[in-house]
Amino acid sequence: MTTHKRDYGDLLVLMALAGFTLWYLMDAIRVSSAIQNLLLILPLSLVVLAIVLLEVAIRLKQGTLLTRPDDGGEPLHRTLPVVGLFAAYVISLETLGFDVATVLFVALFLLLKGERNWLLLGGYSLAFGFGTAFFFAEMLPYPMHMLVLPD
Amino acid sequence: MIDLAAVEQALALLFTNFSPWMVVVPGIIIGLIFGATPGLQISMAMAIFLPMTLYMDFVQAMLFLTAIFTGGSFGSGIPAILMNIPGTSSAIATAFDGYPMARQGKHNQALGVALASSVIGVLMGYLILFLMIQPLSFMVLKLGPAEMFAVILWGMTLIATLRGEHMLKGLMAGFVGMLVGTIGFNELGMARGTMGQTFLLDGVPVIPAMMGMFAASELFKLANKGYIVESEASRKVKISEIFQGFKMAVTYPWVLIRGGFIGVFVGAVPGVGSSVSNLLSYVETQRRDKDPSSFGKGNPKGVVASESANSTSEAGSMATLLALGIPGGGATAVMLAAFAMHNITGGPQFIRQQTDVVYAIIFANFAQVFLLMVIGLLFIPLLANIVKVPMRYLIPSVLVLAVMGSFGLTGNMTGPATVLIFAVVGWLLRHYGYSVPAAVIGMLLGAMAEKSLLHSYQISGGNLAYVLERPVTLIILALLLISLFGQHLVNWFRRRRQPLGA
Repeated sequence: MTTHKRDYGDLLVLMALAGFTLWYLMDAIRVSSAIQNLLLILPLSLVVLAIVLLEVAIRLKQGTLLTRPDDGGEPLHRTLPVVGLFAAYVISLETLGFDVATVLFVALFLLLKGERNWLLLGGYSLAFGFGTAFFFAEMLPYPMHMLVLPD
Repeated sequence: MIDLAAVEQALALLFTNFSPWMVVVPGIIIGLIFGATPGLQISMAMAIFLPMTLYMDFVQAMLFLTAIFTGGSFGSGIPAILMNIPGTSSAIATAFDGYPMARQGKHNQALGVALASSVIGVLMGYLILFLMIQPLSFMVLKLGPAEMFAVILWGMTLIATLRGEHMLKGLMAGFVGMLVGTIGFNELGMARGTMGQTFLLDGVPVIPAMMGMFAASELFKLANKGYIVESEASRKVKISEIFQGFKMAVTYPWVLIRGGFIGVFVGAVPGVGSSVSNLLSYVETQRRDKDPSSFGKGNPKGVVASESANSTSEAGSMATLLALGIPGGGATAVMLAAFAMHNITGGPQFIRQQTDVVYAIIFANFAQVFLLMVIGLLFIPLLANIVKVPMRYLIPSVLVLAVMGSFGLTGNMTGPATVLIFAVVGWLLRHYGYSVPAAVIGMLLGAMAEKSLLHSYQISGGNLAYVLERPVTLIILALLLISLFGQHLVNWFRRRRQPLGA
């Protein structure tokens, strides 16, 4: 038998989906209430909201609204440092450039995940970071912001 | 149906000298590399190498571009299987079972299955094209927006069957994905959901979003694992297993044939193409299987269904391009540019007047199939070594490729930012049991569905009876209903026919 553990996240995600749908529908109506504008958005939004209500009703009946099945999966907080590091990498691209930001991201990731061979850590992050940035800068028709390598 | 004189001329065009063939092997390798690199698109490869075709004659240019197309359509399945990153939207369904196979240590077989299905798919597609190019071009002309909407609706609704245990969550993810797909300007110039941001006017960049949802979110989930394949013994790259996979694909002839037909016909519909055909073929195969619950958990039939359909779609989209001069997607749009560079206009007249050239392109693709098989078999062992790379090296490397690839797609920071946002969204959806593939498919089809619905509305003047005058739409809608409720109806009849107490 599946056991359940207390988790508000599932309900929050459900509410976020309903919230987005409602906001998007309102925004579309604000732009124009012409049939042509709402032809797909209105019926689709109503279907989504109906499904959310149905899901809430089913889970209320089952008494599982504030819990989720304990599937033995990894808890969210254990992955948060990786998500944070990735976010910092993307945000820093414009400041540090694709070359330096990539080298730092790879090096910090390796460090975070337990790589203690400093030669491998430094060598790989430098070679991969600069190599990839150089490859893409050469292949792509747009200028890529770089700190060390030529743009 | 087949012009034998043109066949003879086509063979002469191809075999009087070796020069048309000089470009085929480089074309396949370019396609494989671009297809296998997340973020680099087949259409991007074709666009980058398009200027080179100026120095080629038309047949050689077409051979070069179709070789990139062929190599790329198989190449995009490689990261789908090994990293859960479909190189392009046409390989989404390949990841559904290909990646679970890789995680079970069956990466060699999965790649072999994908290669065989692609090779057979391309062969089948061009064979159908050879036999049916003229009737097919006539049929494509009959497809209007109502039919296209019905095809999209069919694909979208079937998503519910992809997530048997959480059907409501699957539907929700798919429909919210569709709404996200409609963000930005619609056909009438009304901008919805942009929050005043100019970069959203053209909509959410779908491919970076797909990279975030599929790849990054999955990598977050695996961040605390050691290797893609946990067992060390299963990490070996074995040519014998790749061949085993190759043979395995042939043991599912009906899956291949069904995928082939879906691929050609859906691939011929402009704007729909291989993005939808691989999903339709996958869902149909799952629905008809004795054990549908094994799909999504590493069933090789899922890989066969997807790869055979996306490979035959190439021939379908070529049919539309050659017969009507309409590109079905990005890759054929680049080919259309090559047509223009050589002062050639596709269309019924082109097929009538230059049948030999059309046949030469088709015959050359038969040969490309064998070259793809050889080159693919040489490349796979190299690429399969990825499972030996520790996750702490693989994860940041793939994330960097996704970020840079997304920058390449948008040309600014919108791409990387989209990857980040959708990576977090995908990670949360995945964690709470929502179908990430359904959300991605919804995003891909949202704008397409709205456009088709709007055109149908404009043509019919808002009169619903218009649908009743469209037999093809009715057939597709009937198929949709059959695929949703057919099995339930059959079960109901069976129960009724059984005598009480039996």
